[in-house]
Amino acid sequence: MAKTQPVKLSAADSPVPGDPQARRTSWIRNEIRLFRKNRELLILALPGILFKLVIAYLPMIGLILAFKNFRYDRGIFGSEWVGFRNFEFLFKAEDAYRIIRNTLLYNFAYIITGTIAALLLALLLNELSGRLMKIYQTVLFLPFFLSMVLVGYIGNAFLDFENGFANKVLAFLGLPEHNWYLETAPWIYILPLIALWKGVGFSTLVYYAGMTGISTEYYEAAKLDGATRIQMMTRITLPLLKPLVIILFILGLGNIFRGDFGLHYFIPNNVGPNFPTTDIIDTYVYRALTKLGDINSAAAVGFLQSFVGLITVVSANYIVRRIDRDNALF
Amino acid sequence: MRKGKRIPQYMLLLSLAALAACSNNNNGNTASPSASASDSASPSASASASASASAEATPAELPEVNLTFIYPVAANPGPDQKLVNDEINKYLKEKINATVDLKPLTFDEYEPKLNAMLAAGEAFDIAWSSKGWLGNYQPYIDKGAYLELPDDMIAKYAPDARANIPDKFWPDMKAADGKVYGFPIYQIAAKQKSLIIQKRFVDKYNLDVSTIHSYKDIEPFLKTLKDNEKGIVPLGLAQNSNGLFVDPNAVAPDGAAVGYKKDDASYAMIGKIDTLEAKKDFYATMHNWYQAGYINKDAPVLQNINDLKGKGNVAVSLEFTSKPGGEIGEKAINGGNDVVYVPISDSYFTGIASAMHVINKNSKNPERALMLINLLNTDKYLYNLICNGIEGKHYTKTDDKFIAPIDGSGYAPNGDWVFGNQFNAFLKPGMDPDTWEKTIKLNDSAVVPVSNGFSINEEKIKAEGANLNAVGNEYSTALETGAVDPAKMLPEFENKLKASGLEKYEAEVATQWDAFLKGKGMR
Repeated sequence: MAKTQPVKLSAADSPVPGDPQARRTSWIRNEIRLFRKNRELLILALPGILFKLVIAYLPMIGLILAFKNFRYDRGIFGSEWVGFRNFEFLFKAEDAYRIIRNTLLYNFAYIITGTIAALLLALLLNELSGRLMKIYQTVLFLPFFLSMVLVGYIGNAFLDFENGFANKVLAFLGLPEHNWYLETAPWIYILPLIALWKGVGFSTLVYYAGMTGISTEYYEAAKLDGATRIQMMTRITLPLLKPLVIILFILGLGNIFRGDFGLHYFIPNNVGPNFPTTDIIDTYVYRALTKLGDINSAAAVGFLQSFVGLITVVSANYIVRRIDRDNALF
Repeated sequence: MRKGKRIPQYMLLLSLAALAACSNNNNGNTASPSASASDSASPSASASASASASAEATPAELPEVNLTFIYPVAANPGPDQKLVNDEINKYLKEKINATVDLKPLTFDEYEPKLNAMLAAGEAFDIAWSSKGWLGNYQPYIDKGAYLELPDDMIAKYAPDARANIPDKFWPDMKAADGKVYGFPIYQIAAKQKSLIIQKRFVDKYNLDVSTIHSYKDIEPFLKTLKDNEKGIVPLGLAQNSNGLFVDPNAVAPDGAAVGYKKDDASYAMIGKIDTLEAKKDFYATMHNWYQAGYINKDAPVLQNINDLKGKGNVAVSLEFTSKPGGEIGEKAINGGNDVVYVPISDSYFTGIASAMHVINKNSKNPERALMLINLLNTDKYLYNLICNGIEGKHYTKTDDKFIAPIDGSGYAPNGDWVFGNQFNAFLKPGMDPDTWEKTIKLNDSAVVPVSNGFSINEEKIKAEGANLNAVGNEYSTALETGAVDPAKMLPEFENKLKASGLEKYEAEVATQWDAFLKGKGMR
């Protein structure tokens, strides 16, 4: 809203509304005035803006590689344009449906289970206090720092056919053993479970931080009125946390078309027979392109994934705005 | 009001999220800054080198130059890298009035760094390349990375090194366009598939190894092992070690672009489906073995066979490139147990292009770089200096052929095959005195397949190639290790290959193969 106001102002200021020349000068004058007014804030933001520009925006020029046939001796800009040829292989893939379905379904599962579990854990943490709190936080947060390669080995310790923990337990209970890596069905549960175990600590802390920001006045008032703890959770904490949940949800949607390569490569260990339920876009592209080493096709896939991500974010935001304007991201 | 109060917190969170996202992006880019950092280091080094050079008289009329040589190593060669480099420069200055900056990169960092340096247009001179592995020959040539080395250039600057390489092998260096872009590192160039069998079991069960000619012949032995040796894996396979099958009627060594029937005078290419159909029986056998427990259950899951073999309890395993003296290295891999090689295929010439030096298209001094390559392949002193370090400090000479490396001496790149003609290398303890003579003989007697020198240009069939690659990856390991039932999986595999454009792909390959044969006057 702050954005629209100055534009209106300038339109009113402009002596001849139809004259583009005059409109431009008044626009510039207006910008200069805004700049003077917010100078300190802008300078404060400058390092961040520059960082973002160099690290996130400048490399976007590389996106043109998706439409080129890159050669080292001609450089990025000198290489020949090839249109959409680099996108071809992904759409020609016999498994296109399978990998897109897996990517989308798994990502939805991760977002939904992650959000619910993190909210629950954050609510529980919020009820705790003192030294125990730190221990819980650390225990929750620790898996977040493990590399997927390591998690792959931990998974293998569980799922190995001969010496794995899972099969030992099954054998102990007198149940038939499984050759987990050669089956498809178990992965639908194993992968979200590991994703949850690994990622939940981070989002829990984010939600917990959000909860500590809620003014204690609300709770005091509720207590005076005789509200129970459950009531306080559902009537005060959760509603006040809603905007944060929505923001994280929308941001999560931005990566809906981009799978977690580490999770889907190192945990199922690249074993063909489980591909029907573990193969996602990223692992497929890895397998397809490692031999060729084709930069352009890889760039094309990255471009596509980002593009779909952008569309989902914008449309999710649009829907949120239609329902509840205040909670939209932009 | 309520919202206004929240906003700063969310902004903070958002920027945190953005930072997290940024640092993720950053990971992929770390290669380039560090590469450019190492680059910025070299000019100063060369400047100081040339400054000291100008003080003394130059030995030759050649102008003084500084070269950069990047190559892959298994692990960091050690703290004396610089010392050895200086020693090399002293020698090179006399020989060709040049100095060289050696830049060893570990296997995992070699490819991304090479890529980043090329993309940044850096002017390094020599790199290491191979067909199918690091610095992959054809794809990099397609992207215009390597300099063409025409015959007259080689004749002028590297005649001695060229003379060491038999002419019948040379066509292997030709890229898809028929031109040569690298200089081969001459070493074992014949490939023979062998079974590796632990000697203690051969002795214990009186296995007559001369009766074993194919995978099938080993079955009774595996059964004996399974029945009598608890805790021993009769046949050890893994993701990186499978493929026992050899078609006795075809000339189709692993890694060849095309295969053809031995008795087919027209050299018609054998299609993928036919290859698979020929292996139907083999796949069924493997599946039976897997279910009978002859093969380790984690074969399709295990990434690296040596992890399993290290325990010393794998009785039989597979070697793709058995070479003279190889049993010694294999003993260490098998937990110190003696092994014997039992060949199960013909010995094929597999090419001299599995290791080579290439010159960067951006090199400022390609001639001098080629002269250095010439020396690396012919000069015994220089070659052994770069391979083993300085005599007395990093190794001791035991006689005129053998050396003994000094443990923990500070220089051990362990890669004779990275630097130059391996037949110039000193022998290490435990090797046969005539290892190199035997290897050269093996090379010379190897069958040279007609497909030698043929490589597929995937420009027109890129999409199909990528998808076929992905599909092949999905099924082949599972079938080759016997983990899945071929009655169900093989038809599935074949259908998927067909749906992924196999027909179009093979039609194009057949056209190229035809043109190749016509060019050789064989059709």
